[in-house]
Amino acid sequence: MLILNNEQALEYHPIIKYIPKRLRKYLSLIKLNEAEEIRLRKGRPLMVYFNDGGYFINDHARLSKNPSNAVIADDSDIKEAIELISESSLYAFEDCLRQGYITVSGGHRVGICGSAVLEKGIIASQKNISSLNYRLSREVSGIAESLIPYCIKNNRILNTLIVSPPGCGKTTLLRDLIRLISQKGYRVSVADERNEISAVHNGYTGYDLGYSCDILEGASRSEAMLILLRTMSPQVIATDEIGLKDDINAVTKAVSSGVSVIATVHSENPETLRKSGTDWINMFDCFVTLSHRNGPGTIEEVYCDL
Amino acid sequence: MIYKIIGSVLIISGTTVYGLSRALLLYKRYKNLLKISSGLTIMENEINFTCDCMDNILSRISSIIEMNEIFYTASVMSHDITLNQRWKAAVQKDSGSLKLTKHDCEIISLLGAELGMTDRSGQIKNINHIKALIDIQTTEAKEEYDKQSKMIRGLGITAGIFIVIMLV
Repeated sequence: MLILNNEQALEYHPIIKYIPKRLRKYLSLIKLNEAEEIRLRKGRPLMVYFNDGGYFINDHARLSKNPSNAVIADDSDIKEAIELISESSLYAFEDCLRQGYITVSGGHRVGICGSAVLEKGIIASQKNISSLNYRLSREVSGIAESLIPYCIKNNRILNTLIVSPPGCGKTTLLRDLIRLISQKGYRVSVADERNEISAVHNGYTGYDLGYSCDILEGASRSEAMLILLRTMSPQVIATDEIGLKDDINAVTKAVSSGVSVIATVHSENPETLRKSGTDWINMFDCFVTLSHRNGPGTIEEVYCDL
Repeated sequence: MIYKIIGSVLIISGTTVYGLSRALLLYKRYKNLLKISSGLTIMENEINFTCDCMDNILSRISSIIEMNEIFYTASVMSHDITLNQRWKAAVQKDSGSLKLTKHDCEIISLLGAELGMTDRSGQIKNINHIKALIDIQTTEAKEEYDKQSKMIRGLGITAGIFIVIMLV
């Protein structure tokens, strides 16, 4: 099968429309629904990462661990990919480019890596982009159902922290948890800085987040949490990948205002966080630790401090 | 005699209509250049304030400014080509109906080279540069219309009368 245009590409897998046309035909024979990442590096082989590691794609569109005959991504592929993922509107993604990613429709995040352009010592943009990492996001309904009895006590949502290293399914679990809580009628506000949780496109959510969910995407987590707290009278605020000082201040503000917080953080487990002198985790009542042991989203431990 | 009168009326009407239509072409070019310039002003504002994607901006401009074909064509054209290619193809396709000159088209096509693919300030500079060039063309089109439209219309009628006199 040779994918020729965006319409056909979209029928196969939504991410294909953001892949340069020359490379689409190689990816069209691969089960992308099971893939975790697609990596394009200038002058290097095109690679697809699955649960069991990375594979090269040879010129017969077959996966291989052997880099010989692998399809190579060139400069024009990278340029075309940038145009596709930015929808020919790079100016609209200035902040994202500065932070090294663009989230495309469907909630897939494309990591961007090149040479930083500095202005007064701060990254203003990137040039000579050399690597792109398409992180394929997926919606898995029901994976958070087993957590609900732990997260809700006396009709109150516990402050819950989902802890895991990158790529273990934190965002997928968070998304499902939001959906389940929202469907139970709790007013959930989502501070979605990178648009990965909700995949909002033209004001419509790309993922099902339940009936009573309000989303503020694009703003920094801390700013978004404070705005949501002031304007949407939430019962629960959910956000992804906290860790900066401002994020912690915003979480503290929300918790002290009587609003429950559900968040994720990068770490091996809560103990590692504690050992690194992170005292803010004491604000959380419930900890969910994920790993990659049986694939992304493996729940290793649920610990509730109540 | 009646045939001569009918023939004369037909000839004079024909040449008059021809003269009027030639003058109308000059007017259309002037009006369309104005519309394109207005479209670019909207584009600049949209980029500055809404920071929306170029496809949305193009379709919004085409819905705001009536008969602004280039913006519409560029927004609905297949996305399998780059925005620069789409813009150039739209200019090429619509230049005839908009009565633009070759030089007008060259200037408008220039916009596509950087359209969407620089930062916000780069986009604004690019749009302002093209708008300044289009404004020069608009002034020239207005002067041409003012200068030549009356003459062309007059020539149409005069040519008709002259042909009738020659034939009679």
